[in-house]
Amino acid sequence: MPGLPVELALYVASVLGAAAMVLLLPKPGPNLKPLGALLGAATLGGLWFVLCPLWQTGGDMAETGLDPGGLPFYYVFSFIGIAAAVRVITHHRPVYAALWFVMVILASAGLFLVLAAEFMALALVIIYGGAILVTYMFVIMLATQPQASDAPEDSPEFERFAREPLFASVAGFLLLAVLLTFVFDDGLTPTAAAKAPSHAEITETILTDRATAATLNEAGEVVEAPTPVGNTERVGLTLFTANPLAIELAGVILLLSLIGAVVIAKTHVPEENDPDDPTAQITREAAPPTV
Amino acid sequence: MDLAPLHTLTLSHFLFTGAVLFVLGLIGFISRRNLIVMFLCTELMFQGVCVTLVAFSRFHLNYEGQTFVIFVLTIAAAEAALALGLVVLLFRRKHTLDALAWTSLKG
Amino acid sequence: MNLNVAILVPLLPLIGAALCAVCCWKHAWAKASYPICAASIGLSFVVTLLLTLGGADGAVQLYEWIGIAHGTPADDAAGAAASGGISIAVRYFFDPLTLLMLFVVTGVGSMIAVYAGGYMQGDEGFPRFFAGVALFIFAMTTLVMADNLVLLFLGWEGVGLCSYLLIGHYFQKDYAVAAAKKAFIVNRVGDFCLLIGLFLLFDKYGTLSLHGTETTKGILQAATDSLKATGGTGSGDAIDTWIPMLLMAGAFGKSAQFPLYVWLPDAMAGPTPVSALVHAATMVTSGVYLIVRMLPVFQLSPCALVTVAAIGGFTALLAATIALCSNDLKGVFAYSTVSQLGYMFVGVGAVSSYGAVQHLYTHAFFKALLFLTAGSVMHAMAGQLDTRKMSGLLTRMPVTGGLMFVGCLALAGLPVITAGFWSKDMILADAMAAGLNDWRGYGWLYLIIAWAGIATALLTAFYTFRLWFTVFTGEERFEMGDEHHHEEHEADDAHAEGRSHGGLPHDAPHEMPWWPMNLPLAVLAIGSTVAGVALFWGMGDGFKNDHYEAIALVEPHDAHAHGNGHADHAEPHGKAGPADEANGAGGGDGYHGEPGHHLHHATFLGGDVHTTMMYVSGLLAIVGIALAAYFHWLNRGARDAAAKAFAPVVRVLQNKYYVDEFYDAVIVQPLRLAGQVFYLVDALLIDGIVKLIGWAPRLLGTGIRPAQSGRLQGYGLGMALGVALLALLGLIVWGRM
Repeated sequence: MPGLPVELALYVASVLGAAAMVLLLPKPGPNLKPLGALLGAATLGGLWFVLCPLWQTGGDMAETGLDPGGLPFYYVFSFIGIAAAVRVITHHRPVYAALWFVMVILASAGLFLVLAAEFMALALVIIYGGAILVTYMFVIMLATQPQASDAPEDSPEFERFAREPLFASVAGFLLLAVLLTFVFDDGLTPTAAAKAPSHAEITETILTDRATAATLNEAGEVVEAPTPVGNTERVGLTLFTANPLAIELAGVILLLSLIGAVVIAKTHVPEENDPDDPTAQITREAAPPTV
Repeated sequence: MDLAPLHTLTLSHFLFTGAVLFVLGLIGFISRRNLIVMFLCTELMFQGVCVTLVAFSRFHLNYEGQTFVIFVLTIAAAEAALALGLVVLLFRRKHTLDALAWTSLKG
Repeated sequence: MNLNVAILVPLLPLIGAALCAVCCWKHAWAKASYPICAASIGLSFVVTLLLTLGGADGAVQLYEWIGIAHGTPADDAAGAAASGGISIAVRYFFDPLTLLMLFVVTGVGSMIAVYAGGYMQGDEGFPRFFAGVALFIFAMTTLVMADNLVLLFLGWEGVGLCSYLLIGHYFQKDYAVAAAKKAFIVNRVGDFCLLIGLFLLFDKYGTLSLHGTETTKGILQAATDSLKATGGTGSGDAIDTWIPMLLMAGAFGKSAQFPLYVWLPDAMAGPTPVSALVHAATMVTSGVYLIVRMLPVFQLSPCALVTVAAIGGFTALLAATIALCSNDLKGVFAYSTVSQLGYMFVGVGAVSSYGAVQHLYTHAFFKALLFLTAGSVMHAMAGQLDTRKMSGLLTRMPVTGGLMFVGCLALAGLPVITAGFWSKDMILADAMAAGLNDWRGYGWLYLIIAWAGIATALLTAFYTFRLWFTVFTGEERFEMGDEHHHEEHEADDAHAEGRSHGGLPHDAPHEMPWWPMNLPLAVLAIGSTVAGVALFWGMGDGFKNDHYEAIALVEPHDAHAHGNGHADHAEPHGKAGPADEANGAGGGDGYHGEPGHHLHHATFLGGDVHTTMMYVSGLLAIVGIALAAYFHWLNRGARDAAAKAFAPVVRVLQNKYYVDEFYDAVIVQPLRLAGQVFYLVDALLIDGIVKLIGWAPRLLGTGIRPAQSGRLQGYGLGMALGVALLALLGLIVWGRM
């Protein structure tokens, strides 16, 4: 189904998806979440069927050497990722949102594996799941008011009610439709010039010892093939040979953030309505100081 | 109907996923009122970007994309640290994580 | 003589005015303004005399004032006019008419300025008054010397302005301010018509210059040529009638004729010297001067001149009847001025232009004299103007009474010895002659006008002497007014403190001092009688002929007939007979065509009209004086009985025929209402629009302010929406859609 109907389908799907999102986002009124979930799934499915013919077949990834067997893994990981992302933004308790986010990370890591970027996948899990999310957990722990129970009725009002869900969804899905229009455009071909040297070339030029490191037995026959060049090596090579300055700068930035975090933590912030608050007279909504 | 994409993996698959993750993060950032969840959604946006970058890297067989993802991770970490520090400060001031509590710049 | 010296005539009073204005600055300099003003006017008079004796004739151009060339460049007025441009120069023209007017203006003006120094002593606005007077003389001289109509209009407006300033001299008094406004506004009606007339003149003739230059024709010459072409009966074009009608309206506004006369009686609120100078002798005569100057243009229309005469005659009779019952000392003279101006217009309308000008000249003298003596009486009576409250003042103020007596005689037109008699007689005779000769078919109207003039002469004599007898004869009785006066008692130590009496006003009238008040009046009295008569009789024939011929712009051969005392028109007829069309022997321009030649010769009551009228008007004057003497001196009871018998008539006359009330109801109130409406329109509509413009930014701000909610996520939403929309727009524009 070429031409205009595709764009139309995209936008219709966006509208339906936005509607689904609105229903899913926490807000006052009757609980329409199951309906929202259903609508969302239906949107995705319908979109899929409409868009199928447009996706360039064969051709593009063929020469990248991706195993077609990765296809079902893509679907699984993709589905998990999207569903978890929806849950991140619609759950009324921040701890759960963070945990669903961990799920998103794992799904992304899976996608990276499908793309044969195993180092990236593991780096993602380590850094995000191991470091960043732990930090989030700590802060959530420090900064949450205690609740009576886990039920939605007991969480504070600002958690339960999203603000302006309609406008947010509209904005988001409009943007999505526009992005997808570009994505499903003709003419996406690999750029020959951007191609990096292939594995074989690398072994011949840089990792030269690997090339000749085939284990040979006494008879000169190849017993073990040379270790293929892995993703880690390729990424490492690119980082350190082409972007050494960036590495250093990244280190500096991390140092800065470290120092910044320490400074921020030491800042004494007087409470609002504190009689010693030096900024009391300049806040517009400052109530008369009563402690 | 041509169901070839159901059999073959193409670049567009990954771009689709990346775009959806990004947009979901954007929606969450705008509509959630909890400061911490807001920043979590920015991290979600980063996820979408990372997926897109790695997919392009694989598509063009150029590892610059993946090195860029390394830097994205670095920056995400730095930003998370500082942002969460600030959130703690804000919480100390008003004892609430509601983003709507901070409207002194109201015109 | 070199005409360039003529610039001094208007320039000296102008400099005087500027110096008097400087004197207003410091209190110590105030007294100096009197000699400055009087000297500047006096010097102007001297220059005028020199010009007259030196035989000034022709034009002198000072500089080109406005020169607009349209289309092709042209370096003279004719070329410019032909191509649609206009050239207006500051150019003065001198002929005997101008010189006579200048003589009157500067001569009478200087006498009045001398008098005013005594009259206005002690007044707070002493230097301001003299600055106004000097400025007025400047404007008036410019008016009479102007060779083009724009410069004349400058003088016209200038005298109107000075009249306003001087009437409103006592600006603390509401009625003076109101009178000044009334004068200005009523004049403005006339000025507007005059301006339209100027536009039409320019449209028709392509120039506004009266006498033209060596290369171009002026309006007067062009009009005269047109008149010749039509055969002396006037042209039938509408524009040729519109122009004189509009000019006439302007003249009537300035010269206080019906229906624009209502300002002149109210103008008596100004100081008496102003009444004498501006509203008796000079400004009000500028209308007469205008028509006399533009006579060829008026003659082009078949009915313009008769209209002038009709309105003049009507006004003369109307004003005389009002003066009959007026009890205001200056008011009687004001209406008398209106009436005499009506006479002048009758003269002009009967193509007796020099009769009108002669009456103008004599009237200036005796009316100024009358006003100034009335001023002396008012002054002596401490501001009292009601004639019912004063009687028998002759014993206390003999000199003033005698001077006023001379003036009254001149006004009434006592035969032979007063100049007023000769000039009035000339007008009446010419009007009667025009009627008897059925000039242009309007003989019947001219006859009515002439008889009205005769009736008015009787009334004039009566009311004039009614006033004199009432005030100066009979038993002595007076009620003082309530104005303090300090002028002639400056040297008296009893009144030495500052400006206030500290005590009672004077409680009896007393005579005015010879200098500076009574002496100028004596000069004016001589001018009203002896000098005026001398001008008619005693001057040499040559002067008279040239004088009259030049003034009588159109019927010059009649001029020599009149000039020699009516006795010898046979002889001049020989000089310029009927076959004399091309003969310029009469001097001046004129059309010697068929009907005009015999215009002012007729037979009336059995004799030549001029001789007969002499006897008639003389008789009327004596009868009028006698009647006034009877009713107001000898038998005042009869006066009261007559007034009671005719009470309704008296009431109407005292209320001036309710003309002011009529104008108020018909013009003033609707205008006031319109003013209120416009005020509301301004306050609501226009102010509303302006306020709306002020509110618009505020509204915009109030509308946009909610976007500044202070919420971070709101801003984020805005950004996201913006990006999405821009991308969408980009998609559409770049054609991916």
